[in-house]
Amino acid sequence: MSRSLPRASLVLLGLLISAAVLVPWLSPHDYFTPDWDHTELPPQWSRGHLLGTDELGRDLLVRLMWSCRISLLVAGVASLISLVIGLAWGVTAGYFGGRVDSILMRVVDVLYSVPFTPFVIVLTVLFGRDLVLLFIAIGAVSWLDIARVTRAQTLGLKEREFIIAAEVAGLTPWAIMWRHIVPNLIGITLVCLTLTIPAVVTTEAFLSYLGLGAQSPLTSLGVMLADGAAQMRSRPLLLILPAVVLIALVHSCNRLGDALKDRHGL
Amino acid sequence: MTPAPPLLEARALGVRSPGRRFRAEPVELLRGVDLCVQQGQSLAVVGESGAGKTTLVRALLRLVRPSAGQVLVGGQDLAILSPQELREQRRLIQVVFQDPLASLNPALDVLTLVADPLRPGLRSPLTAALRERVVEQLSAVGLGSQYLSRRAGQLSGGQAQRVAIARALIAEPAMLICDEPVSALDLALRAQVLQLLDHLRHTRNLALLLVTHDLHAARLLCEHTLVLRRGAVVEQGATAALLTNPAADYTRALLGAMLSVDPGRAGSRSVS
Amino acid sequence: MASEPLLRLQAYSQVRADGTPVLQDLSFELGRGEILGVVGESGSGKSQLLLGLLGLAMPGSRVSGSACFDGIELARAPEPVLRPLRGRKIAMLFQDPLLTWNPCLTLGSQLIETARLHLGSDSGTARAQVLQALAEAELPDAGMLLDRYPHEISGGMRQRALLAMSVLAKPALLLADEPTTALDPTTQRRVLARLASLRERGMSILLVTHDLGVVAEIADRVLVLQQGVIVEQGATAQLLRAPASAYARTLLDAARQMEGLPCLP
Repeated sequence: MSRSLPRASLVLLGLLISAAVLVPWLSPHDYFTPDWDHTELPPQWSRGHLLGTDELGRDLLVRLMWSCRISLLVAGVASLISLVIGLAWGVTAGYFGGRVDSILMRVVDVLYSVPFTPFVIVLTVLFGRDLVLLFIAIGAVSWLDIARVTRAQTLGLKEREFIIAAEVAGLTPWAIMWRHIVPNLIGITLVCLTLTIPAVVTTEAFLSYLGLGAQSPLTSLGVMLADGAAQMRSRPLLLILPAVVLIALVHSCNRLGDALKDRHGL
Repeated sequence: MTPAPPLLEARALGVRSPGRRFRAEPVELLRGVDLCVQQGQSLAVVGESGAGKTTLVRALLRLVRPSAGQVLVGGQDLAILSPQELREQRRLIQVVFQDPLASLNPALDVLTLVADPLRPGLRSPLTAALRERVVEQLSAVGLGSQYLSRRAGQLSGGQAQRVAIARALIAEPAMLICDEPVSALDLALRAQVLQLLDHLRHTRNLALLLVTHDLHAARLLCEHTLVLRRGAVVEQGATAALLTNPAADYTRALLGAMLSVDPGRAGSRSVS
Repeated sequence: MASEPLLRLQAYSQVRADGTPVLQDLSFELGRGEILGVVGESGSGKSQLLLGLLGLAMPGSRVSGSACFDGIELARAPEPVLRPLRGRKIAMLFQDPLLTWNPCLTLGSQLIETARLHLGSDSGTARAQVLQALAEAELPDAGMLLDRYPHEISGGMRQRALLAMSVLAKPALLLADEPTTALDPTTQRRVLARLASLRERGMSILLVTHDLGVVAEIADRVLVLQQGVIVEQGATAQLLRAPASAYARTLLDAARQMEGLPCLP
């Protein structure tokens, strides 16, 4: 069993993340200003349009990298929020057990049963299309898995002798959970994170494709996929490019997550 | 003038195991155990595996609720205390467990581990003063400050047990309960760790409850001994007297079962 | 009657994949019907010696030298040579029986499976053989024991049942790794007594332990291992009276201290 992480995935993910972070400085073109003189150009070297332009004359490469940026931002923030909530929820339920556990986990079960897409549609109807809304909607759902996993781990850890030693030493339950249980969950939390991110990216792409997520001129992978699908016949490149990036992002995250999972023996 | 109440006392203590399966009867793990440890005294609880020694320790620490009898710490019945009061009372008695590597959190370093009892709440920071105290305790058990940043997995069995002892002592308890503290260690290390415990006990006037199946350890450390068999007390008394002239047959059998490296006694091929 | 030693090691060495030596240049013999104690602290390589003989050393380890068992060379032997020996001619007894028994199966099913595997018996005969083996080991209520799960019986019983299982096929050589370490005195005596009676029937035992008391009790000869090197070997009585090496002396003094005996002059 190889203990090193898959290099290809690491490199790919690194590239995508650097592109997303550095895009404002990488190109003279921005992602939203239309350039009516240079619409629908094929990939070319002149004027620096390496992948060509879209129907409004915006550079495709820049738009692609911006999409990556937005998608990763949404994924990152939503995942972090869900991580914090899920971890706190799961550890509390697992450690206290009994009635506290029952109540907390019933809430999780109820939320699991809420159909996701109609839920987001309702939110959009109530609050309009907003990127922040996307964070909230996605974050509100992805913490459930993390809660279940951390609860299961906590149940096991609770019986270990070093937890009993901490109880005997007179620590409060909160101190035990924070200082003794959580540090032992870092491994699995990392795994959850690397597996949540691609799920969130896909969800965001899906929502934006449906027109529920990021609003023009802001672009995300989902938005680009939607635009590309509309022009599939005439310019397939518009669909293929964001699709390839989405697949690359999701795939490398998943592979890393699997490798980390193996490492921690989960 | 009334004498001070004993530090730790058990009166007619009984513990029943929860009946797990439908057909199994709940088993009585402890029956009518009376014991008493005064300030500064040392008591060995001796018995075989399955005798109820670990159950006794758990009942005394109130990790398990007794089905009969009482446990009193400093004269106070533990049963009537609130969780908060129980936590405070617990700090009087600290524990050293059998398997040092299991009783130390593998994700934490030695500094955090040893300082732990002094940080009961969530918001207790690890101050420089605390660090000083940790260094002090570590040197009292014979470990230098280079161990502060190590994790449990990087320690040998002997070192880990010393860390566990340092942790147990840092909150300045009045009593130390040691549950088979050396049985997981190599024979070569046992005498060392036991001597350390003895030394610490005398310099800090600690009471000691030593749970073990090793009669040699009992003789080395404890003034009094209690023999446990199948959850009940078989006999108890001064260690020296008990071991040279046991009253109960069972104690005699236990003594006879101890192995020896004395060339005169060793290698008795007619074992029975 | 000249008896060839059952097991003979010559310049036997084991080196880990990363180059660290585990065992260096071991040479010793084990005769038939003899118990050889291997004494050393944790990390001395004593467990690796037993595992290495069965071809179970850590992957990537390099073995050099010779380990000859009953005419068969064990060092660097391939699987097809080793597998028929394991469990039948050479048995191994591990320290922690809870880890060796499958917690999901009853003791009976595991014992009977072993009998069928190593003795080639059918279910009916296997059950009878198992019951007999348990009776020989003086385990009470053998019939009831078969229906129990490992966690339902005490550690001592598990170890004794494990011993019974190890010797079902009546191996010529038993490799015992700290067989009595986790046990209390009375059970320890019983297990040692059983090992002694197996010796009386001609079995050879390589007994690894850190406890000199165990060695004093049943070992005919002793080997003292320090960081993979043999520092002393000889008759047990001799070692207990006057150890030649400083290391053995330290070990013995620690043991004597525990018993309250004065250190050796």
